[in-house]
Amino acid sequence: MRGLLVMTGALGLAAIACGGGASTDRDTADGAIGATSGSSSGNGSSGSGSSGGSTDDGAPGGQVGEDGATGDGASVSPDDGATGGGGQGDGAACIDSCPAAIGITSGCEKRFLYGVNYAWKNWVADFGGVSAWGETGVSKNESAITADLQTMHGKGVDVIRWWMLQQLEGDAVQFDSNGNLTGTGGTLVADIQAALTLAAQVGVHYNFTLFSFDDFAPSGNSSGATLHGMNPIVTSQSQLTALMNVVKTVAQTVESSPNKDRVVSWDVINEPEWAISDSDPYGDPAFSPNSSYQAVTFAQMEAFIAAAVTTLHANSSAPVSVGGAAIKWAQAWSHVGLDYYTFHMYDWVNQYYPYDNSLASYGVTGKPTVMGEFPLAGLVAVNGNPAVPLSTMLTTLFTEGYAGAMPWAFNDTCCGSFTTAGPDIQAFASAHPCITQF
Amino acid sequence: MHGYNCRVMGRSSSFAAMAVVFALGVAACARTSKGTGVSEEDSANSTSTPTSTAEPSAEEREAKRIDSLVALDRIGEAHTAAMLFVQRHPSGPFSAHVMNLMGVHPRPHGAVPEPPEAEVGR
Repeated sequence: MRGLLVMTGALGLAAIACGGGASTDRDTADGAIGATSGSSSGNGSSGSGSSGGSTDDGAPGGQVGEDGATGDGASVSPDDGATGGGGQGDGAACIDSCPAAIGITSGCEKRFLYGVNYAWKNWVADFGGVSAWGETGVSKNESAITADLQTMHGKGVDVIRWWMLQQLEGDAVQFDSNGNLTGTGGTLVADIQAALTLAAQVGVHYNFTLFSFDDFAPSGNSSGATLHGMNPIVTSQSQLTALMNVVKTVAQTVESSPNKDRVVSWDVINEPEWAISDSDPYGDPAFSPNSSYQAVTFAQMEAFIAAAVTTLHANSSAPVSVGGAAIKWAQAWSHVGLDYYTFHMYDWVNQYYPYDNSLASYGVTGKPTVMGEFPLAGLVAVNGNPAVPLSTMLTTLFTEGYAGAMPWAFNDTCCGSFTTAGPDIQAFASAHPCITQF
Repeated sequence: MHGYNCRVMGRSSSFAAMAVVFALGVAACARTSKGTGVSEEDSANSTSTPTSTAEPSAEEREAKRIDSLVALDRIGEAHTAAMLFVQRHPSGPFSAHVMNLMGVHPRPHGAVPEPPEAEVGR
């Protein structure tokens, strides 16, 4: 049930639609905090300068074809393509049939952002392909990916966190012979469009994750492909500008799609903390980088993320976050204009920063917060406390005031099996049937 | 940072949980009694709850070292070691523990670079 209803006498239907769903006082309602898509746009240029970059694969939107049957009665019309952000842009008034008390707002719907990390079908190749490896993107793997989406959807998953450009070694981002980033390429645009079409057909939504700390691997040969590390990119103003044009192309491709509502949020980068060499000025403990990667200073990472947030806000109506590695660095991304916070929770974090402590106790206030990764297998026993099964984690995160939860992962051997966890995932969705579905 | 009591805290029978909680206790005691100088090696030795009486394998020693690094709050080093561990042992007996501990996920061959210095497994 998508729940986006044009105000054409659908109020009654909306009430019926969600009438059976609420199971706790938290489920619906009431003016509590929520990230709102597009709310912080209007900031104009990201500083990234000129439009578009050199897109080898066609201008965003130029290849939008059949949109797939949404099958849900959605009335969102294609946007006008303006890059100002700031809301859905279709001019249609809508009502939220079952607003979550605490959630993420995309379009006019405020939901507990509930789903799972995909997090990729084919590493790096999903969006753009990697010709050097003979691997293709979404648009050429539709049947296999559709099957995955259907499996997730069948267990109550609504939002799928999907990594896009976690290492710059594919065809999606193009470089010249000097190693300078020149624009987008490969099947990037077609793959984004295909992913949105599949989401509409299956009835799921995405949290697209643009980058990862993996991007800070040193440049070099990667099994026949040329890997371009992001350290020299984010530390060069001209290259950062070029990278923002890539972000712009991705965002505009989504925004120009008739299925743009399938992207309910953006995650600029997965766990950037592992590629930061120093400390933030906001009182967090010092960062502790992974020495396999080429770390940058916090100021450089913050500038990169802020530029990406600005670019996304200027070109997309979906809210924006960063996949923070741990609440240990709770304040790190508090000054980059995020719409909501995201943190990850694994056993090491839980030892020092228990998952069930209140967000306020960690100083996380003022914006909704999503737990964007935690093990499908739950957490092990620590500090004399028993192990935490997935079902308990989901319930506790919900009652502690988190705005969403996405365990790791559908397509990975870490950290538990989706098949095994499926009943728990479905049970939580069934217990909160409307507010967990955009 | 949360404090820990200087006591053995674990009750899990698994290697993973016992190793971690015991190491945490050691590290916490080290933190609360500055100057005791608990080293990584000391902590590593303290973490072991052998799964058998046999000499621990290299894989097991690597896993214990990662536990120790976490216990000592040397998280970046633990993350570095864990990513390499998972690449080397994607489905070994300690892989699930290390992955759940550090949130590291197997990447395709070549996706995880070796650190510039030989930090891991020393």
